[in-house]
Amino acid sequence: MKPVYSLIIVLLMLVVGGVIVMQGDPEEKVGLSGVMELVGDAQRTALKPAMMATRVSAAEEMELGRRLAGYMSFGGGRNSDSEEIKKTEAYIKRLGSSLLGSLSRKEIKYEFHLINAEMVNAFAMPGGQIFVFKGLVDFVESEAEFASIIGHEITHVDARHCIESFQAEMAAEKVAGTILGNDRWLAGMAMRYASRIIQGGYRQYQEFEADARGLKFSTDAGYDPSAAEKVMQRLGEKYKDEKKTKKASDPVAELHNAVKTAAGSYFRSHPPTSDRVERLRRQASQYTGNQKFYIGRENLKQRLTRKQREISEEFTLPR
Amino acid sequence: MGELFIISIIGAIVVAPLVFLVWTISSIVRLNNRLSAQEAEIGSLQERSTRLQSALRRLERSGESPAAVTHEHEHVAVRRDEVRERPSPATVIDAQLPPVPVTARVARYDNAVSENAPADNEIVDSHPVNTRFNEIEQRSYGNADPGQTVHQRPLRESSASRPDRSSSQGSTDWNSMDFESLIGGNLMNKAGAFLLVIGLALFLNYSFASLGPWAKLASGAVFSILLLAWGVFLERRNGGNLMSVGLIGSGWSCLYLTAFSAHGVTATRVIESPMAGMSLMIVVAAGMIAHSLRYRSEMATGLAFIFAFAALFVAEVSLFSEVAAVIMAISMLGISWYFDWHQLAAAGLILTYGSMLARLHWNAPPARLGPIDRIMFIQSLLAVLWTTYELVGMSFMRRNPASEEITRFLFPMNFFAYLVASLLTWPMVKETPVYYLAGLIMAQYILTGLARGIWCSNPGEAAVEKARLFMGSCEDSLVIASGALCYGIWYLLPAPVVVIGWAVTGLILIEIAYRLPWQLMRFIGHLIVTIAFFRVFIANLDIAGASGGISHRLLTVVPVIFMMLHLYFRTNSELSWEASPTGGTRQFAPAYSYFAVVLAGALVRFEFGPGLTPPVLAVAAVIMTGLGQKFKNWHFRRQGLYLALVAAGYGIANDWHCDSINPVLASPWTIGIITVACLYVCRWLAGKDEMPSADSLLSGMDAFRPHALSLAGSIGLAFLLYIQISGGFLTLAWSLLGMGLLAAGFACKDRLLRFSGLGLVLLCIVKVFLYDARELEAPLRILAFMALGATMIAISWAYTRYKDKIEELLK
Repeated sequence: MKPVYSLIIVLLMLVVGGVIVMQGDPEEKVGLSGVMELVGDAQRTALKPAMMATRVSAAEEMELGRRLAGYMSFGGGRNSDSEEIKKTEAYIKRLGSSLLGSLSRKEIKYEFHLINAEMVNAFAMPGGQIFVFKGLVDFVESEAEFASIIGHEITHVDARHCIESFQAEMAAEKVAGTILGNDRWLAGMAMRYASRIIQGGYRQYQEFEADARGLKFSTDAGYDPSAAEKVMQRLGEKYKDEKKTKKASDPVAELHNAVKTAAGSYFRSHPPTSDRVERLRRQASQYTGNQKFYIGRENLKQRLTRKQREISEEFTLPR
Repeated sequence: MGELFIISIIGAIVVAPLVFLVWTISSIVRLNNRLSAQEAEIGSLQERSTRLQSALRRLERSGESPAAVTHEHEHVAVRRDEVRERPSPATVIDAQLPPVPVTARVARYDNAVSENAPADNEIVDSHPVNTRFNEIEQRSYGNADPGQTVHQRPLRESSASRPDRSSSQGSTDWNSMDFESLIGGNLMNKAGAFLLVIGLALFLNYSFASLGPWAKLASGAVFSILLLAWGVFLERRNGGNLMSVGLIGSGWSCLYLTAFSAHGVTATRVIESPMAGMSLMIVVAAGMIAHSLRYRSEMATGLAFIFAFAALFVAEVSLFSEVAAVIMAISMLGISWYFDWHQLAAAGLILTYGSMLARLHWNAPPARLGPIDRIMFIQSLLAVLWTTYELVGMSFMRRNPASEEITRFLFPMNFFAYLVASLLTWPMVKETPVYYLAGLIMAQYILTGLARGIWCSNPGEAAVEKARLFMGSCEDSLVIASGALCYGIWYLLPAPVVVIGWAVTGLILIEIAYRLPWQLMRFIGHLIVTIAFFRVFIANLDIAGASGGISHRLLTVVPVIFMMLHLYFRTNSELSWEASPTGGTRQFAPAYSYFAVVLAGALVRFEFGPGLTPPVLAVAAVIMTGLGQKFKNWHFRRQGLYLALVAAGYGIANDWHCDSINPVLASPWTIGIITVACLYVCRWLAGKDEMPSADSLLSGMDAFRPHALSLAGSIGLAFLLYIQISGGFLTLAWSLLGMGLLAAGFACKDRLLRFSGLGLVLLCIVKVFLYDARELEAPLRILAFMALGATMIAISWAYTRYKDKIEELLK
């Protein structure tokens, strides 16, 4: 092909692409988040052999998880006299168990706990220890929303995110045990900080992965795929974690801002909520067709899972 | 006004020693120049005398009357003696005392020599003796064009013929006398003039508290006229020495300041109309400059302008003072253009923009104007200055196209000064759309670029020069205009579309530059395209949004990838930098192919998500390897290898996992098998390549390409089994895979494949004893041991049974 023809074709492609994008109200997002994600991928790939070499067995992981859970001093359902708390904890356990159908690591035994505190949060520990704050149960509006959050926490265990942050520390303590004896915790602590720095590059990737797989866990169990996006949006509005940045005065200032924010975001464990909402929306949009999904607003109120009481009005078609 | 006083005092304290130092250096240089000029003139006259004698002899031999020549020979001899007896430069100061007529004439002549070296030559050339001599010389040598001889400059004497300065009469006391008179006469004179101006400024503004404005102005005017008159008197009496020039300069400066004060200084304002005030200043400035021009001295005129600028500098900033500065700059440029005084033009540029910037930022800008009016006002002044300098620069270039010295200095300096001054001016008002400025600069430089292209006729310069930077050509102007355009694109377009705008700009610049050919523009085009490549990573990859079901990421990045491929083929068809007379850019071609591949890889990662990235990259690797073979292009082949390795690594890091809602795609088996299969296809294609000669590190590494692909495929497959099969079945699966790899290694004559198979079997042995024996339950443990044992026996049997065939295969 003559250069002039290829030039014309390329120019046309550029102009047409640009015009179409301008018609669609494009997102004005400038930053190094994309680059950081690629760097995180590279770090994750490079650390894979180390993670493989220091892997612990499921039994060891569950033992660690139980030990760590024992340190938690939150007032849970089992220690509460309140019927409501007990009922809620039982509800969480039933709902959580219903989401374990498509696990990768079936040898892990999951345990779900309720923390009697108003904080709107949930977290996971190695070996399948999942903790949910009562504030979160009050915050969500349907069982589908709740399922997506519990699915997110299950993924952190299933995809080894939780145990990987302990693996290096445990391996260091094992290796140093023969030399340092009782002081081997020093080596473990040093390795903990080192691994936090190294793994900081892909913590946000792990959150995206947990969102995606969590949504899959909940939809595989029949829950509405758009619920995850809705609850995430409301969480973002509640905590307002993002500042709207003003347009820079020139391209150099723009790059400077991007570098500045990227350096700060390296150690940020969770990605910006808007990004998470966008990705969840994109993933949920893949669910099309006539399959109906369950919402479960009434189930949440009554603390009865779908398996206990299925309400026909709670079914909906995907958006 | 208190600030003005402090500034004046500080200015006097700081600037006076600096001026003193500068004048000291310049005076020493000038003294040296004058000595050289004298020596050159003596040498020239000696030479001409010798040649005249020989011409005389020739004429005598040919029978012509030698009377006229003899007469002129005598003139030359007298002239030579006059120059020899001329007093040293330092003693010129003493010419204020009643001198003998000859000395006065020599002093006047000497002044002209010292102020302007070319004037010296002109005087020598136009001297009747020289003209006549040239005619005679031409006639005797048979040259028929007397016009040329008139403009012929005298030959500089050789160092051998230069008279020994140490042996000349009176040289013992010359140095001490010279230094003394330099300090006492020359420098004191100039420093005094400068201090007089400062003093008058202070005098007008502060000391006359009791006088009315008219009285202040009248006293200033009288004082100025007295200085002027004294200087003119001394000049007429003594023939124009440094003392008189200094007094005249001071007088004019003071007069200019007085005229300026008539409107520009509040305390002495008697003229309310800005137009009238400005007209008065123009009249005085014109007089001052006209008077300085009488001496045809670049330095004297420059000094007059410096004084005038200094007078403006100490005044408060107003619309009036800024307009006055611009008028001054224009007049300065007009003079420098008329007399071809490049240094004056360059100094004027620095002086004008510098004083304007300093005044605008040290003092408050005109307060009466509103924010937008203020910007418009200052920008208009800057635009007028810029236009003037551009015109002068162009006319210098047109006058002397070969010159690349001071005339070419004007172009970049004018651009940078104008840009900096404008950028400092525009943010004075918040939320000012700076892209207006970018648009203005773009329009200005497109116009001046066209003007330079038509008027200066220098677009073809690049054809003979590989590296030219900012010399003031049409190309340079258009490059600046394209820079401003890029800024405007960045400001006006949405963030994801900026890349498209920059890519189009860069592409068009490169294409224009190919055709003309313009080297700088070509490089700038490549630079813009490269910046666009990097911008994709910060503004286009991690974005949401779609139009018509196609993501904005895809709509913006795919055309850029195609552009990179176009540029690859475009630059690859060029000559290299060394081979091309205009500096080819073939070296850039590989970079563009890698840009395209990197962008495509990143696009796949963000568009398909982490799960689907490995198989898509693996398919891309097969395509690149195939293209590499088709076009016999090692860059493509290497890119195929890199894509394959990234696909394998990425898949392993993700545990071959995919989050697709499609159950087939979501299975690690699908992702893993597609990727590994592509890796083996690449390996098969790579095996068909002829091995490159290992003349470089990269070429040496190319030899390992098939092995790397084979190893990556085997590791990926083994890892897939590890992920999907657990416990004792894993040992069985790995054993079978080891056997398969071994067999394939024999079939493909691939030693690394065979080693991979054997390595996997050995790994199974280790696993059986270290893990299976301890961790597995009894049935699985038994299965593991039995499977491994059977596999090893099978391998051994195969080696024994097919020994001959294997040996044949290994040959």
